Amino acid sequence: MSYPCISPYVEAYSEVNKKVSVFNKKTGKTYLLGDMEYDILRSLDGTKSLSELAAYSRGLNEQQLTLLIDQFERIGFIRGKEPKSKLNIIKLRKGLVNGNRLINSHNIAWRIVNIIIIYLSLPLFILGCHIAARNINIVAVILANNLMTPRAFILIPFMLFMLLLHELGHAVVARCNGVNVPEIGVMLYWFMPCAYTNLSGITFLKSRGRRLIVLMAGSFTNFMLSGICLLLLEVVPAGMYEFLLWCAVSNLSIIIMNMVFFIKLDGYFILEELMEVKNLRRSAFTYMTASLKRALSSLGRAGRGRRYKGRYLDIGSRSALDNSVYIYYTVLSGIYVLIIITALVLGIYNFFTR
Amino acid sequence: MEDKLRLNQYVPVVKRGNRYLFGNSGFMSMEESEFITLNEDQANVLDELAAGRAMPEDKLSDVFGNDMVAGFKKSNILTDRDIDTDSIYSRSKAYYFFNKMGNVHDALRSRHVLILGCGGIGSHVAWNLAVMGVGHLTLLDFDVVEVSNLNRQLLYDLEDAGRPKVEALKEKLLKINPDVDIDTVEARIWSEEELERVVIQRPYDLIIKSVDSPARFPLWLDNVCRRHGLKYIAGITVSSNPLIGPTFIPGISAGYTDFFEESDEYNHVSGISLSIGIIMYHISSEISIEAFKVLSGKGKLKYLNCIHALDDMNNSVLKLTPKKPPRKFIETDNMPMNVLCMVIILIMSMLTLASSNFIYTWINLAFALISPYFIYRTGLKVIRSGFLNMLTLLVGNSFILLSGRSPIDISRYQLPILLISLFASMSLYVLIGLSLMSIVNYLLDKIRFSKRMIKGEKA
Repeated sequence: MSYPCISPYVEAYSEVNKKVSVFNKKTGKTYLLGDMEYDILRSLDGTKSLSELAAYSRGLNEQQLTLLIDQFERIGFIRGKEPKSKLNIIKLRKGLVNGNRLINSHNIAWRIVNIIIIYLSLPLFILGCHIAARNINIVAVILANNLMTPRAFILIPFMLFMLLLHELGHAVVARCNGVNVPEIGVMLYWFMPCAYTNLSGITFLKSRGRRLIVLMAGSFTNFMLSGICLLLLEVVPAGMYEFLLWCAVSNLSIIIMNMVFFIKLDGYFILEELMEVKNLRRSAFTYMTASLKRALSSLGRAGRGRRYKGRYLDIGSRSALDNSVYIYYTVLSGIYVLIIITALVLGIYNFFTR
Repeated sequence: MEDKLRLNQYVPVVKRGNRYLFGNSGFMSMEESEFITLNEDQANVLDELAAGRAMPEDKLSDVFGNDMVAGFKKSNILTDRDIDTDSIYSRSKAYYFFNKMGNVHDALRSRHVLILGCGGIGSHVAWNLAVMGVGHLTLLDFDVVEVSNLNRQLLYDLEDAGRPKVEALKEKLLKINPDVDIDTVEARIWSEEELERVVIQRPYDLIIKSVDSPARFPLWLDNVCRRHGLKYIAGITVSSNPLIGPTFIPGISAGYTDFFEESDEYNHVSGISLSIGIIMYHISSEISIEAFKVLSGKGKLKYLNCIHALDDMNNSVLKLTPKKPPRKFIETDNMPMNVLCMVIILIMSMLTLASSNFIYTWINLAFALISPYFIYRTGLKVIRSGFLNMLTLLVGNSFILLSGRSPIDISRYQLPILLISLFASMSLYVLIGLSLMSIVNYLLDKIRFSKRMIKGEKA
């Protein structure tokens, strides 16, 4: 008979206040365990029976231990019982580095980077714009003529590099606020190459302002990079001019792309924080499907599956305002997805018929 | 041994023909699609399981198939644990379990509740809390049991007549559930100071108020609870009207003094207050449910920022709201006004379209951002309303863009690309607008709280 054993996909990162942040690589989720629970999780090495575990643990009886191990099993902490990872074609991920090992939040250098990202990025960008505006004629000519030529495709690796810097910005600020950052990597999101940071530990940050800053840090980094590129325009030789300008513009486009809240990017999470809604997308979609279903069933085949006739009397459970937010969000994001698909199809069609 | 599975005793299994429904999969939902068809073998095995036999997992997998057994295990229809079906808490624990409430039981065990008054409401709430498994109760009353009380006060009987209520109640409760730790205070409270002395003796998690004998008692309780950051739920009969509420949670909801002004008090001159058991039980249950929600932290509180005056005979409820609403606390749902604002915004964008004068857009933007502050009180709702307004504005403005009246020449771009960038700019504008609004909210909160502090100090 085999005893429970800890899964190799579980990674722990110690935190203050007797709590341990544990990351499951298979599901990509972060959990916060108390130190007692963590001790038991650590001692699950496949050799101890339940009674031995009870003797080892501090004051937990066998029944409580079974419950705890059941819970671990459910969130995939036990070897052999991990959930099967589904291949999501829209989100193909590959983790590259562990943010916790890369960024030591006690290191003064990272602290300085954190402060620069938070406080200096916007001033740098504004300064850069101010300086570049002096040569607005040249900039406008380059922007109008050279930027969207096929040559831009050669620069895609640079774009990926900037996306990685964007994620690093998130990671640095998150680490300096004491968040567990278990993974930074690259992924294909809707077949577009981009980078990601696992910021699932952010929910354990108490202050809403801090959470917002961590979420905005990526865009701040891009503002900073864009500002630096615009400043460098003054000093570089003319050959580099176009490249730097392209860098500045693509950083700005990264920001704009990230702020679209109809798909799950930074903007969506910022919107959730601003409106203090949890799981906006899922609850909006479930609300819409449920109300559509209800409307359809009341149309023709009313009450055929049911044994009774009735309707819900919601006594102040959810307000009309929230419902209209849900409706608005669902309708607009539905339209957005439709537009994106049409654009993709049209693009492919044009490419082949040209 | 461990691999043997048995049917969870608390899962209802319903049968219609050869179609079975396992568990309560939703509130009163008996959709046709949730029924599972079982063949004869499976039905026989199910009968054996229902008789209480445990079976090895392999055998069950042979009959039902791996997927079905795994599904049953996941939704706890089949389990390998012995489930407590005998103790006083067993059914409550099953309730918490199937409503996915987490470990409510242990939470309740650690709570300490003070019950002010052991009359019709107090005794019933005390019984509810004691059998629910609340760890510590403190009962306070000054009266003795009289025969006239027995029409509404649940746990007393004729033999108790003449005994102090707290004593009789404690004895009865311990007979039912000896697990609970019960203290009694036999005293009448005549001043705010006395009340304060009682209330701060222990770290009470909740106070249930069912006394109103000095007319100023609710005000005293409100003041004391504000001072010490304590929660209370009030319930009382005033003349013949039963009142429930408010649930006061410091820093979150309005208390008694927000509903009635201090000069509003009436002094009782004469007349015994009338009461009847059926109505008292109704109020007590409502208060007990509210107390459960406060103590366990689950569910939605019903009497936050409101007092309900019930007329059970005519099925009517009078809902009292605070007179001087503290801005942050009161949630109004003023959707018609918000819809009106959205319509105005759309009309203004149409005006821009008709006149090509972009001054309307700026007025429109200002209107979209400022109007929520006049419709809603809480920051949360203001932001959500702002979200709706901004999106309406941007949808209206995108009509302007698409109609070709805008300063941007759109004929150079493909339509899908244009629409994508439209949505991107829409999100950007909404996020910027909402950030501005949340900064304003933050500042407003600061100002308001500093004002309250100054007022409090003067008082």
